[in-house]
Amino acid sequence: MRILQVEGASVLLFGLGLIGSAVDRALRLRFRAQGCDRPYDWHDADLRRAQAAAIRLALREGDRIAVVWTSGQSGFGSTEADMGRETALLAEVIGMAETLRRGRQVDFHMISSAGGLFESQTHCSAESRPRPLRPYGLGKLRQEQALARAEGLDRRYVYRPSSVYGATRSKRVGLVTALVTNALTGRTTRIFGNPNTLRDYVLSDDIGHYIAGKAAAPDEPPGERTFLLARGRSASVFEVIERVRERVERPLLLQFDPHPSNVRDMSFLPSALPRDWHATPLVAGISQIATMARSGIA
Amino acid sequence: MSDISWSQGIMVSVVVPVYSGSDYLESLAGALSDLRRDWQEQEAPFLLAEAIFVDDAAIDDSGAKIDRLALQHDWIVPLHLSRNFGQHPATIVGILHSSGDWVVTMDEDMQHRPEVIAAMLRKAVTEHADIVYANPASAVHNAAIRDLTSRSFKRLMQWLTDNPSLTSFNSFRLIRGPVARAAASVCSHDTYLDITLSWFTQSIRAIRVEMKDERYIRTGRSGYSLKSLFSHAWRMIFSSQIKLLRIGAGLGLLAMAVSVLAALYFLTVKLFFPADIQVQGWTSLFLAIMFFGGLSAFMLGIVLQYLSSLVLKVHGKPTFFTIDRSGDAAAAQWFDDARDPRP
Repeated sequence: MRILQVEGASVLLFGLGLIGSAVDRALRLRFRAQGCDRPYDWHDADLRRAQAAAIRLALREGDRIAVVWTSGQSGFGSTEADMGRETALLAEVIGMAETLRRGRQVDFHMISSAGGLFESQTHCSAESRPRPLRPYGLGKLRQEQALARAEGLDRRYVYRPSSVYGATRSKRVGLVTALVTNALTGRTTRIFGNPNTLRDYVLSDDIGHYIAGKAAAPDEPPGERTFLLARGRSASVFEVIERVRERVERPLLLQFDPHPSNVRDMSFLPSALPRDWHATPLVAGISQIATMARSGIA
Repeated sequence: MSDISWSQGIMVSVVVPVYSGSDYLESLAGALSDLRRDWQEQEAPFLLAEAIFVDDAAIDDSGAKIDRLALQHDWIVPLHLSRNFGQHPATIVGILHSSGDWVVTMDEDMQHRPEVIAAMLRKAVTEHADIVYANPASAVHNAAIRDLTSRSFKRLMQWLTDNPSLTSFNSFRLIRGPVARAAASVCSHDTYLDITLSWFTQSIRAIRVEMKDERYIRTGRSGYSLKSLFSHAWRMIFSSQIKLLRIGAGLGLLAMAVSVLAALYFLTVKLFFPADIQVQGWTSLFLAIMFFGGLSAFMLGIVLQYLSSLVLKVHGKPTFFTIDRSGDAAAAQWFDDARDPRP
């Protein structure tokens, strides 16, 4: 985990994957955050407790605390047991956040998943209710409920990003980045949907900027909020392939899974998105990923 | 805000490019809202899930009106283009923002009545069609020359491009969602949307409905200027493999063949009946011109065919495209069972 100091607040960032690293970048770029890494062992509970105590001691007195949970390791194929483990880890971090609230404000920002919660639902509006279809989505719903129960915290913000893509060195990169990097290296991309599958692709840096803003400089009074982070404009796999082909100008080697497990459409109406949220257009996002991939960053 | 809840059925998206439709937008939104409610009351298996109004840098206050309508109805999606791109690009943008199982494109000026959408859907699901055009049952503009010109141009283009559906092309269309979005994703600024659609499917139908361009009839003004009509025509030619290229290459080959046969004939005459040739040199000169002219036309035809294939590839003509029509059966059954599905 990483502790980032911004003016008047300490941000505790748990998880430095695709979204976590985007939040980290945004905090450094926009809020001149200074960070230091702290060990937090996900496998050894005793060690973790000791590390949590050390983290508590490292925090500046009087600072507002913003805990940002971006460390979900699960994916669409996760089992109930996987999700149970992840939820237990989240509960520990929520518990730790509650213990920090002694004479200071403690906010909690949690990344959930629009894909897991709204799988197979299209045209989701602000009134649409999550109807998870697999353990992954159910687990995410339980995690949201766990945060909702933590009434000792000030701001409890849940972010539900749709299909995230971005530049990262981690294995889970998303369709867009996989297509771009594989096209540049001449490798085959295996696609687990079909060409007509609709998804709402959103750039990790947009999410990073949004969460960083909410964590470092919140502009709303304490309370419970849920933010759907999508573009409000879904794209078919076919369109993504075409756009990547145009930008990368290399042949794309593709293999479609004959028995795809992830073919259900998902889309979100723009009216369901937060008013202060800005999403990068898909073409611009693909160009950005291609530039980064060419320079060896992605 | 939406007062209609639904279980996930067949979703229909409506795309409306708007250029000068301020006077009609409220009536159109009202008619779409009525259709939404009608389907809900009829317990139809489909739902009008979104209406995407694309403000193509409108010349009136349509942009502001679209935003107001979007605040009243959460299923109305406002889109504003940065400049005027034209009707086809605006339609393409709207389609790319849609996520319905079916996408309806229609004009802003109530010439295309929303209640016809049900009839188009019925035609599509019962005949497994991917595109259904609504064609006017009678003259649209009540202006004989304008309607005749439009019809004649379409017939000429149909002959030139060998596209049997070309005479049905109309901006009031119902398109299967995946086909619509795939075609829209490969369209460039110079591609004609309907030509691109026909790269993805041959299952195209048309229905006849009464439609009148009230704006043109009342004011003599149309949403289309002469310039935009020419632009439409040019885009159609540019997006198609024109038969004229093949005809030109064929004529060249024919000229070559005729010149060779004629050369053989006149050589025989020269060898065996030299007295029959009155003017010396003219035949050989004429045949040489004919042969090389034919060769040039043939080679040029081949080069243009190659070029045309490359242009189509650049325009995104697909090698293949898969489609799933399995969802049609349930909707077709509903149409069969419903005694009086309106209209």
